[in-house]
Amino acid sequence: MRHYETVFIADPDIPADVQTDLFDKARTLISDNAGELIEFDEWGNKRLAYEIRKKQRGHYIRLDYCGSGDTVSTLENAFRIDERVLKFMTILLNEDADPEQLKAAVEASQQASETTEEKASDGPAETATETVAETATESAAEAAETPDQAEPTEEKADSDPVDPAESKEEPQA
Amino acid sequence: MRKKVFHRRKYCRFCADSSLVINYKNPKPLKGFLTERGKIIPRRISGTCAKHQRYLAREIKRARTIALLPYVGNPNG
Repeated sequence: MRHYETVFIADPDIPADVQTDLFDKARTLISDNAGELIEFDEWGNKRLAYEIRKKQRGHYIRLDYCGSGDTVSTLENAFRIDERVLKFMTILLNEDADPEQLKAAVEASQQASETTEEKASDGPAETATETVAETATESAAEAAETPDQAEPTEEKADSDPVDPAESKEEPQA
Repeated sequence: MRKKVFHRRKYCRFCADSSLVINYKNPKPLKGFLTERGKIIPRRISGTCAKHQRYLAREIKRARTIALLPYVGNPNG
């Protein structure tokens, strides 16, 4: 299966129930078209670098999924028609990926971030322990992944550095 | 006679520091490689190596597409 990533900008001014409706629609569109959602990543409201439909802000969502070209085209068609979506972009991350393996990797990294958060909140020592824990969990995640294919590991190396960057952003928000 | 101009040796920042990742989802470091007008700084000026300049251009263009970076910047900001 091909591994894709779609970032889309939802209208920030729609009510919460309409927003959840939109997100559910995106989820079902993927699952109904031979796709498998790996991660639903909500970045929240961000300032846009330029105005889109007279709007200065946008609600960013990243969909990480496996599927075929048809999955992407139906999803993009739906986004093109949908008024609630300001803009979207799909990127092919990997030609040949195993969704189960990717899901496991995501879960492992989420658990790892949870444990680091707990540690950070428990102990008064901050940065030093955090960085140590992060590197430890990263190596653990790498070890957990079976190295039978060359490409998934490559992809992992590609996507892994993103997570620390995102966690860096979080304290500011 | 031409004056001798001394200048600092340029180097590729991504080769020097492998922890720097070029990714459109994190546009802050990419901003350093844009002019105030939002143009991509050529590698003859920034000193970035060919490989990393290629990645940089790709990620900047992706970030522009999804409105994380401007196509046309404001000279004041």
